[in-house]
Order: sequence, then structure tokens, then C-alpha cells
Amino acid sequence: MTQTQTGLAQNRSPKTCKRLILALGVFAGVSLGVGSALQRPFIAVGLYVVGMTAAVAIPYTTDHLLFDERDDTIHRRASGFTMAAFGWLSALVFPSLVVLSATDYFAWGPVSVTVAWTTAIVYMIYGVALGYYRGR
Amino acid sequence: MNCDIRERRNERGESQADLAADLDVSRQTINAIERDRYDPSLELAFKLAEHFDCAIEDLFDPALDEDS
Repeated sequence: MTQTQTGLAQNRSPKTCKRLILALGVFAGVSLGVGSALQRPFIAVGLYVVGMTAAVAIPYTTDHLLFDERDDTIHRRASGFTMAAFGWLSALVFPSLVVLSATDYFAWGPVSVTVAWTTAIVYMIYGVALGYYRGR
Repeated sequence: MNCDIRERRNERGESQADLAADLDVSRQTINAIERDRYDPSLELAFKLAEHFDCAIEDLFDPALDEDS
């Protein structure tokens, strides 16, 4: 191994580097969420930017190969599972909410409307991506 | 998919890390292939075949049923 590693990734094994990336990503996300909840938006965004920047920088500061085709395969399987689970859940929940709303057992509020729109947009993006990759 | 990469690698006295470095993948990927926990891409299969100077079908056995 050459001695060109710098900063956070210095002298760390590939496994440690991967864990560091995960930890920094979690730190960034939690900081954003907690900071926002505590009404500290600038601190939240500052910590988020620092955490994500450090996480993204690590692969560029190590000589180790951190991600290869197996990681890509694992990522695609996890994404596929997530989309399938999310899809089945949506297929059950939203029609049920429509029926409950029509029978006055449920009232659409800002949260449920936002979730419904987000779900619709996620699947619209998925549909566009699916069409694009099928056509390639 | 069954493969005999571990045996071929041991015959050459190579470590998983040596093979991984030569093929530009992680050691964990080589370990996963040897333990039949990951099927490599066609590109990596060709690289493995080239490394061991053999055909892909010499390295990998799909272990299909006789009836299939």
C-alpha cells in the first residue's frame, strides 16, 4: 500500500473506512433531524454538511478499494426490496385511507397528504427511470 | 454457483487479498465468491478466467439439476 492516505482514512482498513462512512452519514442525518426539531436550523445544516462532506471525501482519501461490483449488487437488491415493500404497503394503505375518508372514519391532514404526494412522486420518478433504463 | 477458485488460488500460493488486488475488487468479494455467497458479474468472471488461464466454465459449475 502506498502512503498517500490522508485525514480521516489514514492508516485505516477498508472495513473501518466503510464503517466511518456509515457513521458519518448517520451523524449527518441525525444532526439535521435533531437540530431542526430543536429549532437550530443553521447548526443542523452545518453539521449535516460537515458530516456528509467527510463521508463523501473518505473514498477519495484512501488507497483502499472501498466499493466494488458486489456492493453495487447488494445496493440494487436492497433498493429493489425497499421499493417492493414500499409499493405493497402503499397499495394497501392508500386505498384503505380513501375508503375510510369516504366513510368519515379518516380525515386527510397535512401529514397524510404530504406522505401521499411523496409516495406518488417517488413512483413517478421510478416509472421514468424504469422507462429510461428499458429504452437504453 | 459452485467454483474451485479457492483450490486454484491455494495451488498458486495466492492470498484472497492478492487475487482481489489483481482483479480490482475487494477481498470480501473474493471471499464471498469462494463461499458461494456471490455470483460475480460476467466481466469479473472473465477476469478470473484470464487470471487462472482457463475458461469460465472450468472455474464455475452452475450445479444445475440433471433434469433441468
